[in-house]
Amino acid sequence: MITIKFFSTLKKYNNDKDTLIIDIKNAEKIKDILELFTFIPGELGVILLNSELAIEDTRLKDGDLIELFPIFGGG
Amino acid sequence: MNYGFLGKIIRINLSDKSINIEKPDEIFYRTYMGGKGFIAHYLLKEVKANIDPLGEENKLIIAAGILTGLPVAGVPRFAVGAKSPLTGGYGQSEAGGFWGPELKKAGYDGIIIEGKSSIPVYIYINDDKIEIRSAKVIWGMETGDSQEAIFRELKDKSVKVLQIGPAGENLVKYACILNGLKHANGRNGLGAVMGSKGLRAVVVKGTKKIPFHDNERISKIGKSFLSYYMKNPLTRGLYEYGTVAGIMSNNAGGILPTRNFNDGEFDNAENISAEKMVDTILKKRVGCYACAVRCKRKVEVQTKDIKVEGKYGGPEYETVASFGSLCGNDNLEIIAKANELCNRLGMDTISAGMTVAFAMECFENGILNEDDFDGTNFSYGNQEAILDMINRIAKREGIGNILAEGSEAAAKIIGKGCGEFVLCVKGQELAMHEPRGKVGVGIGYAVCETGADHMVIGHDTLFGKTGFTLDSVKPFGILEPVDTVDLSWKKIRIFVYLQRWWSFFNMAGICNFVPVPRGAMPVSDVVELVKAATGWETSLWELMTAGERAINMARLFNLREGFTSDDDTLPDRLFGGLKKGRLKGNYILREDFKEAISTYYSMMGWDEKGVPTKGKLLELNISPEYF
Ligand code: SF4
Repeated sequence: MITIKFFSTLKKYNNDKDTLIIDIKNAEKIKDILELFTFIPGELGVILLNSELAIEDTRLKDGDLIELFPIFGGG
Repeated sequence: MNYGFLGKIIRINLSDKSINIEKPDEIFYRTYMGGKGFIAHYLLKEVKANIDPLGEENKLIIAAGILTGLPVAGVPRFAVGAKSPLTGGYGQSEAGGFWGPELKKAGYDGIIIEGKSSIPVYIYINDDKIEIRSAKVIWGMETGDSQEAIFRELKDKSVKVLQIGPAGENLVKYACILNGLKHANGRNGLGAVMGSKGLRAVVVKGTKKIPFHDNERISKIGKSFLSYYMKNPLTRGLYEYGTVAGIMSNNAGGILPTRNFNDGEFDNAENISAEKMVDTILKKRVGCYACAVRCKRKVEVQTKDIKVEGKYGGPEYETVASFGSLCGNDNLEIIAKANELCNRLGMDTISAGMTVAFAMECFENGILNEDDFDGTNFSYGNQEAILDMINRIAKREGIGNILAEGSEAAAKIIGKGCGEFVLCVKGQELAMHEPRGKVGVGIGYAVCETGADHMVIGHDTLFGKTGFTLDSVKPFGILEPVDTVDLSWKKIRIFVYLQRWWSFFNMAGICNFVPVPRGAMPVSDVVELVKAATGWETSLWELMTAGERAINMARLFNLREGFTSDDDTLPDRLFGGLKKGRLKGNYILREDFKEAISTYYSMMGWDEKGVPTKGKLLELNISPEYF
């Protein structure tokens, strides 16, 4: 089981809900999860895995929490 | 026939009450365009070196841009400039809202205000009629009351009111100028310059049509923006969540300024998030003249203890961070109240929040104590104390009188080593962006002519990886991502290109949330808009060069005032590690930063001391009379 939390505009990829729990067998890396969605390239900003900064190549294990934040450019 | 600009600038002298209309030629407009270009030109040419910013000799320049008032999204802006009482250097601040387009509808591109009135006055411009009227009745009022009084006096609620509040009258060094009670020329203390002139407001009514060269083409570009801005994650985000969306994103990245820039993460960030705002106090998404993005917020609070009126707008990211995480305050209603108070009293929310946070750190370290705050505990997170202090600063009461000078000047008065708690560049407080995670923002803080300013270029996150934001700047030749903490020449190259682009926005009256890379309008459409508005056969090259010209002229002003390359640096705290958050320990290496500034100078065609070379100035068509 992997829990994904979507922040602000990214919620639209999860029917406007914050949290999605998925049971996925073959996900080795965060990017395998991200591929399930149709994010626009560059749309994702910070990615956290279990509260630590992560990148798309960070490895996953059962029970992980991924938090996804949209890009923010100042202002 | 002029297109885009009206060809008329008002000159008003408040000492002798003279009013004149000047008519610069088209070459003037094509060279300086408006905003920063006009301001730099008039300040350099007409304001003597080393004058008192709050004296009669300072001039207040109000300048719309070449595109201001265009009926498309994102061109409502105008700039105000003068020698800044906060920095002692080139002062300038921009605002959106509805006032700039109204000035152009009245038939003018700008106003030069000189001298000083012996009694409080306001200026009333009603198309061709321009009057200096007594402001005796409104002097001392909060902005909401004075706007109502002006409506009553003129028997017209449709006039657009640009005004200072009590903070400007009391010469608070970071007093702002507001239009429509919520759109602020916030930075650099220009409200104090207005106050020093006895000028409470500039009220405009314009009923004419601004002439544009090709209205059909303009409408086509405007419509095409409408067809795609909701598909762009950045502009869509601005509409849905406003700039406040930055709270959670920055907090996650370890770059949310917290407890006076000690930390990069705030424990209760979700309590002050955009989501929280949407779920609780948000009443409406609002915006500026003709702009569909509507990134601004109207909030209301009605509780037993706190009432916030919607007419004062709502806090944006900067304000939520400056009165929130920066002061250790996780109460969104208190932040909304702090924002309302600053708008009622006429103070910049960034410098005000930063100065309060500075005082809190002084208190935490025993440099100031409860006696200094009338028995109040002024540690981080004391919500009531924040609101109380905003009032005291605006009215210059007790320690508020010292804090009204700005944190850098206040630290010199307080002494006891509290200078290390000051986070300023050239005397102006940092905005709510953390250079230890976005180093390009640090370059911007260091070299910006107005002191620490976050609106100098697009932030590092926009070019840190591949994707739609990087794609959007490929027309500049920016083809590869550069990491957010990379300070090499690759970052500086991006910086110098985009600084020119941003500088041009300012001169044109463009909001940087609409064009790429922070917005959605492509580079080519922006150039097309200038062509369609003015009828000039222009190019990206000419517009970028105009932007560069204004940067260099503002630089010349500061050099004349005695600023040196030593002033192009960052506060010491940023050369040490962040104390908390996901970037804990991150710091900027002083030597790397110096090297980056030196690279910047050479890319700009400036010498090693940061002085523009004669060749560069002449190439930019800045004639020797300016230097
Ligand atoms: S994007 Fe926001 S700040 Fe910019 S013009 Fe539109 S409403 Fe105003």
